[in-house]
Amino acid sequence: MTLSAPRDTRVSPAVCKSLGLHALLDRVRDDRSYSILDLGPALEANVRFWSQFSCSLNIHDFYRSFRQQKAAVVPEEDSEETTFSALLDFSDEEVFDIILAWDLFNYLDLRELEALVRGLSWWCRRGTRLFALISSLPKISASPMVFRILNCEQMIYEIPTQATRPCPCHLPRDIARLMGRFKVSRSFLSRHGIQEYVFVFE
Amino acid sequence: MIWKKSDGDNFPTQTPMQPPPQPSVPRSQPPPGKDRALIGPSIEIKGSLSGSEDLLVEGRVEGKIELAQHSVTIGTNGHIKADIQGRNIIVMGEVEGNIFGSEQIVLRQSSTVQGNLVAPRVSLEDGANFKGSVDMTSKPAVEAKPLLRDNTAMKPPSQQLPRQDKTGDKA
Repeated sequence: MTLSAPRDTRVSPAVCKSLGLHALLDRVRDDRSYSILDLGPALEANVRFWSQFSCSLNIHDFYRSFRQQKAAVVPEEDSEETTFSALLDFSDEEVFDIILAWDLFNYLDLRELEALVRGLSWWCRRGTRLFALISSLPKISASPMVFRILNCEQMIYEIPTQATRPCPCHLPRDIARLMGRFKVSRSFLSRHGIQEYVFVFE
Repeated sequence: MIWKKSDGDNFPTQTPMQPPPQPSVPRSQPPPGKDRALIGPSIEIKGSLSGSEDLLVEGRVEGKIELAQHSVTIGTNGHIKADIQGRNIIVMGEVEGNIFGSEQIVLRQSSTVQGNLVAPRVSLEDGANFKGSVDMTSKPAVEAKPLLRDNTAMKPPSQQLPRQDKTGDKA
């Protein structure tokens, strides 16, 4: 009997221009350092990109932690609150200037999204920017995409698996309602059916 | 635009970054033939470790590791529950604690780290399981000043502490 290596189901990564990323970075002041919360996985390219700047980068693979926590906790009425409260536990002095949510919103239902935004709000101040990519396609990758920042306006989009799942296709009005004090600052629809949002905490 | 530590107002070049050069030895194992102290896989230490030579840890350490002028390598079998202070720190195993490197910190693909990294240069390989913060601020004395919160959002009950909402700026 012969054994074959497991089939690599990853899709080839693509370099894409991101107007949202450009808007996120272009509107940041140039005379200070920043505290950044990256809700995606730890990636060499992103750490290297941010290392060019004076910043503190907090890396928190939220989706992974959320899935693990969700699997371990018995569902209760307030489970989202409890789960998100436990996951978003930073130093009490922490205040983020930039939050990178990437495509995380596509993997949360509206209740979860609302709980996430409420949890994040505690760690924000007026002017905090949140970058999110919301898909309008009927199907999305079964797990969040991987985004590697190349420069201030280009990213590599890497789809981790060919498996797909239905996209919740959050409507702009639902997003606006659930985002609380985060208001849409800039929004761009990319060719790939992904709406790039830059929110600002007000 | 963000202030760049290296060259003032220039944006980073749009040329995609080149992958780092591949080392001549497999990354899963520390380079051989270098003189350094070794804590073997069967050794377990609880307490404070300090000294004046490089260190390779393949065992378990719980407490504190302080080798400010020397390199500390946590091998693939190493399990550390401690803050680590060193010049160059390379992690291939597991660390639960804060890591302070006066030159650089490298998290290899096989590493699992939960804690905060503080160093002028931090390198993190894809696949490294990292949760925590990377402090790459260039002026610690200034950056140490906490940002002030302008936020009336309610902190989740589990985190709620008596404190006053403040307004202000970090700069």
